[in-house]
Amino acid sequence: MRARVFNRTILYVVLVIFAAVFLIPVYLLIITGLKSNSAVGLSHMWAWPNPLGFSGLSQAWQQVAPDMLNSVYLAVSATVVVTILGAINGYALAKWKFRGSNVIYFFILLGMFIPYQSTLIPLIRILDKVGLFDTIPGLALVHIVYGIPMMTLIFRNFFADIPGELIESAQIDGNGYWGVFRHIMLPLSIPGFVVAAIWEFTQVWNDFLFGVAVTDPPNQPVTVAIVNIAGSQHIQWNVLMSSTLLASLPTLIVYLVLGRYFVRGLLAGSVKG
Amino acid sequence: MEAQVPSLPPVQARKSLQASDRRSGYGLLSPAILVIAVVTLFPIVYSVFMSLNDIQLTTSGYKMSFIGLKNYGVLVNSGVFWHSVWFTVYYAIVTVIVELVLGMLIALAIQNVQRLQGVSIVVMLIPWSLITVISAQMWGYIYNGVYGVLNYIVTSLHIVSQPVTWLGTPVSAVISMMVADIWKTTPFVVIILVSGLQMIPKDYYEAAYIDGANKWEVFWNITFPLLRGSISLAALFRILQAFGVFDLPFVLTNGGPGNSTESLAMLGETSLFQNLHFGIGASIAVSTVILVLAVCLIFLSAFRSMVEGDAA
Repeated sequence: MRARVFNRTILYVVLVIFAAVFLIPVYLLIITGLKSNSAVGLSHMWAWPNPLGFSGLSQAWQQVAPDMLNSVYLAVSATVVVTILGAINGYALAKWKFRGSNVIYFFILLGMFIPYQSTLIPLIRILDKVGLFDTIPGLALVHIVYGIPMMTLIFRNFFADIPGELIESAQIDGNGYWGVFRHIMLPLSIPGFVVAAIWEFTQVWNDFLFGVAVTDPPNQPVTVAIVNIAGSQHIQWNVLMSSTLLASLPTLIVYLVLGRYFVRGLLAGSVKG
Repeated sequence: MEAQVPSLPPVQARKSLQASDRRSGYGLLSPAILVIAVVTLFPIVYSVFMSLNDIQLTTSGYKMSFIGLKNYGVLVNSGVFWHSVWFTVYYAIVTVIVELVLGMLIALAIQNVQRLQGVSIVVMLIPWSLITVISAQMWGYIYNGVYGVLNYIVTSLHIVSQPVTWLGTPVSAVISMMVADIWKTTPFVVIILVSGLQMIPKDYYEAAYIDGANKWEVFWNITFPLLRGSISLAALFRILQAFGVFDLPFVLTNGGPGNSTESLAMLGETSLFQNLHFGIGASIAVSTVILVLAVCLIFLSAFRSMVEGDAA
């Protein structure tokens, strides 16, 4: 009994240490962002900002607000479109086995294995030809296309676990292909949608490579804008940390608010081996 | 075919659907198939085509002249190219292995505590949810030679007397970059592994303990084999990401000092967009694709035989 308590204590200690390691850099990011520029210094690095300085935050907001808006348009539109496409793909591949469906699935997944930088030149030429180069819709299109493999994987695995009997009884009730999708699959796949949408939103919001290759200011996503701020000669750490703080808020909020559902969806097996 | 698919075979759908229904499967997927053809095959074919040409930018566009494998000849003889291949390979190997081992430890710890599982997972999600560009800025701040937190810690603890320029020497820059990567992506591995652990039926463990197995034996004979799907999924994702590592060195070190942290992705981007050597850039891209596919295949077959060797 004593050994078990001892073991358990060790477990908690290990977890707390790891949690601290994972959180300390974030703590630094936050407090530095909330300091005035003159208060950023080595000797009081760890100190809670006193007084709270919002000058960095407001300067940062002025610099990155338009780019934040770009990123919001980009991430929301890409996420909505690609989760729907992924759900349709996953449904067809999981429940309507047809000849060659495994081959098609393989080719869809192959899309995940392509290093993105190898696609940049053809990508830019195509976007240029169709007039979408250096636009947010163009960048969204790129993310939709490269989001399809992962979304298909998530939804196919998710739908595979929905019992065939449910579909059969829905068919007996007179539902066709889309009827089954609307009345059986969609209502049951809310956790799948949460996982898929969070995944995709984060991917798109975090992207830097496509953003820097396909857009120029003022059509750039916030990630590119932040790298540009950091590239200036005299770095104001509080402004830089404030802008990174602002830019990370959307994904942070998404995870903190929807994290529970994300984890529940994961545990329900939508991203499983 | 299934060998490349990073998953255990999912539960087969019941084949109760009529042939006419199945046909609509094609109809429904056809836009996707078209997109896949355009998106995955065309860029590869086009990159291969470009890599076989000498491409000059002219006022009217591009002027291409076929030169066979000359671009690859340039690469093979380029020390910079081999350096970034080598860097990318060992960067990927070290970070993926450390992340898998750490991730497994943390996942097992989370699995075995009764309380705070949810909180632990949310804490894990925070580093992962931070944008790479942002976590790179943050680490840049931590490593900074003048203001850096890390210098503050090591000098106050009297580990070193002078501040260290962490990103200033090749070895410390590589290690610093790996630490930043491990910090950000270990949580991803943890999350995949925790969800895998949840799916192992509890009775397996009970039966093993009744048979007198110790923890170590239980891990190697039950947890590890049953987790192989999740492990290979996490490893494959990480290998793919590690071989494409771009934003972290771009922000943190810009490939420096010298070219010590210049990954293949960075080298490719530099030749394409900064030096405008399109042919060379394309041949770097094609080499990367081949390298990544080769590594994934080697990993999958090695991992499979390792697991099967264990089971035997």
